[in-house]
This record gives sequence, C-alpha cells and structure tokens, in this order.
Amino acid sequence: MSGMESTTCLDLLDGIPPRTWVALSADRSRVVATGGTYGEAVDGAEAEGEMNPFLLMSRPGPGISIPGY
Amino acid sequence: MFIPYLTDTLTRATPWRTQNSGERWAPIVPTSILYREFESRVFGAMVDSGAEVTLFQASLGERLGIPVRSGPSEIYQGFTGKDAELTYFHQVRLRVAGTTITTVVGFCYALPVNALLGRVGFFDHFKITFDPLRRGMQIDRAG
Repeated sequence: MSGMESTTCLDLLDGIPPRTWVALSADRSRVVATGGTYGEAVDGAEAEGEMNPFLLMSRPGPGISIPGY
Repeated sequence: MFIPYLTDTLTRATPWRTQNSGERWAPIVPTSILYREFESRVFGAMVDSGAEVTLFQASLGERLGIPVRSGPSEIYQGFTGKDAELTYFHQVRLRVAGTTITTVVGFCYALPVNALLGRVGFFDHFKITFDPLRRGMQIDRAG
C-alpha cells in the first residue's frame, strides 16, 4: 500500500490472555516476556537479555476494543 | 513528530472487514514516565480523546517508586461501569513524541489497558493530527 509507514506488531498479542503485560523485543518483532504487572514483564524481559523492551498490554477481551471513558 | 500506527490484519471474519480488508490500527505512542531520578521502560500508550484524563496502570507507577495510593483520588468509571475503582493522581514527567512534559496523570489498578493519553494531561499539551493516508499521527507541542 503506497505511503504505508505503520508498524505491524499487534498480531503478536493474539493468543495472550487478556490484560497481560507483554514485553516485546526492541525491534517489536517478537514477544520476550509476559506478566501480570508491568514489573513482572520488565523483569522477564531482562532475564531474557532484552534491556530495552517495548511494553504493551493484551486486549481486554474479544471483539471491538473501546478503552477509556 | 510523525508516529506510525501499530497495525495488523485480522484473519477472522468481522462485520467491518469489507470496509478495510480487516486491517486493525491503533494510535499507540511510545512513551515513558519519569519520576524523580527514575524512568520507566518504553511502553505503548493509546491516544484516546474519549478519555477525560490521562491514565496509567498502577503497577507501572509502583515500579517507578510512586506512592500511588497516597495521591488525591477520584473514581475511574470504565465503559461498562464494571470497573469503577479509585484512580490516584500524581505529577510526573512524560517523555513522548520527542519531547518531555510535566503533567498530572492518574494511576488506576483496574484500568483494562496499560495507558490512555487523554484530554487532560496529554491533549492539552499537543496538537495531534490523525493521517489515514500515512497510517499514523503527527504530534507536535502546542504553542
């Protein structure tokens, strides 16, 4: 698609239990650790040698996501 | 600063799949929180004009040493009304979109996502343009 600059990594969260903290590799190409809290995911990433993880949280549940409010 | 959306393509059927071939996109911005001499790891924060205030998962604040429950609090009301829980507010610095701002944000244990960059605490600091052609956002300091 012309002009597309977006980064694909949301699919890495598929199959991970809802509301789980996920540490991706710095290049966002793979999951290096997960945890129930931010700290658990960071510690897991460091244990895997990833010192600059990118942290996300898996979706709250199936279907359309409407966060906030 | 231009920040591309995070994307993927759904393979399952959805009522809206024919609209865009199943592409999902999320306006998620790499962000970190600075508190005293500590800085969080970079995490993805959802830009959400529907959120009245900027909110973070409380576990993120705790890891940074923020005494989360000591801050002034207000009820956080989730979309379904099932996530009503106290949100605690603290002044922090956010490193986001190539700059650092000092702002007041909320920390909530029941927040169903890790971070929402909302109207107070984020939108009042930035001019934000969503660009469907480039699949991303232009985010610049206001003023």
